[in-house]
Amino acid sequence: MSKFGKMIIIFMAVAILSGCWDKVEINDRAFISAIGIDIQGHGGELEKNKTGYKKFIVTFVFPNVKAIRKGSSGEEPRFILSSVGQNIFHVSNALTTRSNKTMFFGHTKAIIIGEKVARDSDSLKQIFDEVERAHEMGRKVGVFISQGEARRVIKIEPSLESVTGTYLSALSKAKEKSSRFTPKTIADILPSLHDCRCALIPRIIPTDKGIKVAGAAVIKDYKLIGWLGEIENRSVMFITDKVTSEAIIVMDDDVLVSYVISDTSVSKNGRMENGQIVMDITVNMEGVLQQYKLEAKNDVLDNKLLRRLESLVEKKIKSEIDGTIKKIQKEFEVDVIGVAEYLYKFKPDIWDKVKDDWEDVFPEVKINVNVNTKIRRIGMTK
Amino acid sequence: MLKGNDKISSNQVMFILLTAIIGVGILSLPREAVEKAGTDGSILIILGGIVACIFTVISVKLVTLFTNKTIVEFGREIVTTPISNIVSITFFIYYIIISAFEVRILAEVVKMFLLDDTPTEVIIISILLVSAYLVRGGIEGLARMAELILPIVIIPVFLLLLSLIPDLDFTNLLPLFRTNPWDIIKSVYVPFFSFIGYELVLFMAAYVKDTENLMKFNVLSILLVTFVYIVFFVVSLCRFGVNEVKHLLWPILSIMKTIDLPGAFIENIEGIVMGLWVLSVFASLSPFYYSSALILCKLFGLKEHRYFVLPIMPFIYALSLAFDNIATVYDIMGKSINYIGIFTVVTVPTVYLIVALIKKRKEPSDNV
Repeated sequence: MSKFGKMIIIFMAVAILSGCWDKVEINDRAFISAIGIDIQGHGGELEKNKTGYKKFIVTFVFPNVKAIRKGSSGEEPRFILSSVGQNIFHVSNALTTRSNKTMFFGHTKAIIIGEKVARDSDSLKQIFDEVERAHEMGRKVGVFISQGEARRVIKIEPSLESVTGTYLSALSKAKEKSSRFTPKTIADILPSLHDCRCALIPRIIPTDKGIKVAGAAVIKDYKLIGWLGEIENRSVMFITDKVTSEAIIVMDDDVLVSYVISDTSVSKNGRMENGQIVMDITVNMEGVLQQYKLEAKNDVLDNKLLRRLESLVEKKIKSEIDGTIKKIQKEFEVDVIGVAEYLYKFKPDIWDKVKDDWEDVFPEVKINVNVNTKIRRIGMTK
Repeated sequence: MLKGNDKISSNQVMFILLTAIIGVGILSLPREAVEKAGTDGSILIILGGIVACIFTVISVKLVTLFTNKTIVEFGREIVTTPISNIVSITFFIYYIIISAFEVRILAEVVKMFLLDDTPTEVIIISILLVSAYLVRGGIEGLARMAELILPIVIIPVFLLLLSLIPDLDFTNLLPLFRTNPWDIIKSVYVPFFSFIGYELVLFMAAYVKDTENLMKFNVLSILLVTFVYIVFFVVSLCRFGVNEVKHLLWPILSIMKTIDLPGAFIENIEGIVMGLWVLSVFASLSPFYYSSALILCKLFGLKEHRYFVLPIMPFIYALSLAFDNIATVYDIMGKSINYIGIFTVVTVPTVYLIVALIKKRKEPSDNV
């Protein structure tokens, strides 16, 4: 090869190896940890008519990377940026005029949707499509619906962990978690929305002292139609077999009994009876007696007493579940407890008959709930 | 560089076939299978594998009739030279389209996930240059590269899939056998085209030392590919459910985005996955590229295929950028691969084999 040829190769190598088109320094990145979405104004028809679209107020939280370093306690631990625009990425783009950092969504932990946004099916469809289409966001992002404005939730600094997104994701991941809310990510919610146009999304409540996640928002036809309380959410989790740990308290005469569930399983059975679909749902649970009472008149190491306590727990759980099912069937008329899914998978013959008008059939489905409780252990004392 | 005699063994053919077949098709296969057969998609994939097996057997039977010759040469013996040349040119065009399709999909995915600002042209040129370098090294280099890449890609991906198991809902596979059997049989072509690449044996058999083992390893490679496809199909169906899989452009990539490694030391593993996938596309592209160069070389009766490697590159490059967006890429290129594919991978081996067998039977009687 001639000298000239070698020179050309060296120069090409310089051009190719010198660096990367897409390099962004880590200090120049804002690692967005949570996104809050609200609707501007009342979100009514008036604003939509003026411009042809609704405007959202999008709020971003990101940790101050400098403050993470040791001994820099004076620094603000997190930053909040907020602006108005048509969607999340539109706003993040607009915010480049106000921030020296490039927003990076690869580590986003939570999306908090304001109540008003969730009540509008168009907005919700837009947001979910945007989030699903965006490759950088990932499908592990937790979704929450706030009671009131999402901005308010984000402005509250949780006392245990100052960055909202990290706080929420740690909250969702905690293993020995109570069943007051069911953590849901994009990857959980979207299949549910595609299947039945309905979903349960955890509710987030701003309080004076911090953020509380409890209960669930009921989404039907991509629209928020109501809330489930903490206990109702627990009932839904019992039916869908998602409970990992939960404490139940019942009164036995004057003794307060605390029972901790360690394991549950659910069996379902569906059949046609006189043209009506009947579902039998049996919830089996095992657990530990956590508290009785010193010097009580009964001895706990007694099968009869344990049986009585078991039946008390059963009665309590059953009545809770019955009430929740009634609310879901009659008030919301939305199948968030997976009856359709069960029929589709296990009873395809029945499903083929009812799938076309499932929304009318579901409120008429007869659901029988059975609860079996076992107290396996009673702890260290008699 | 140490050079052998440009001979490979049968199990190296298996490695080349495995890497060549599992390329970009796997990204969208779960969606296509679910669209056609719902939860019965795994049956569809198995059927596709069986059909691919049948044609693999036909192709291998054909090549073992002629030793040390590629289809370009023995085609002239079977059917006349002009017809055989036309067939060879069709094969050439077909491989150019496949190569262009692969690099285009690679460029689109890499641009979306990793290199936002890098021009598509640069991504395509760099992968083509690397591939050209490998292809110039001949079939031996190709085989050794395939042997290297396959374990590097397969082992980590399966380990990643293991970490997904807690999130899988295996009841999503139900209900089984609810699709009309006739509908399934009619759509066998969908998974079958994900097995395109087995016909590479028509070209590579000329360089195989132990042709007697060729049948075993070829069928084995198709079985392994079927297994890999079914694993990926089951995982994506169990993770997302029928309706969501239908909705996703590349279910496999979405799967990789949901992986949460235990310990959470690395949060987003798509960089790793993309790296592995780029390797596998590279290994998938090279055999097709090599075959196209080989066809030209044999057509002109030359000894060295390497003179054709670089001249072909502009064609692949231009074709890969000829279409505006991902929708037309899938529509036009995907369809043309399928239509030409029916001719090249189904019709040609079958007809050639039949004609060759008839001629062979006649020959002894002529001699008498």
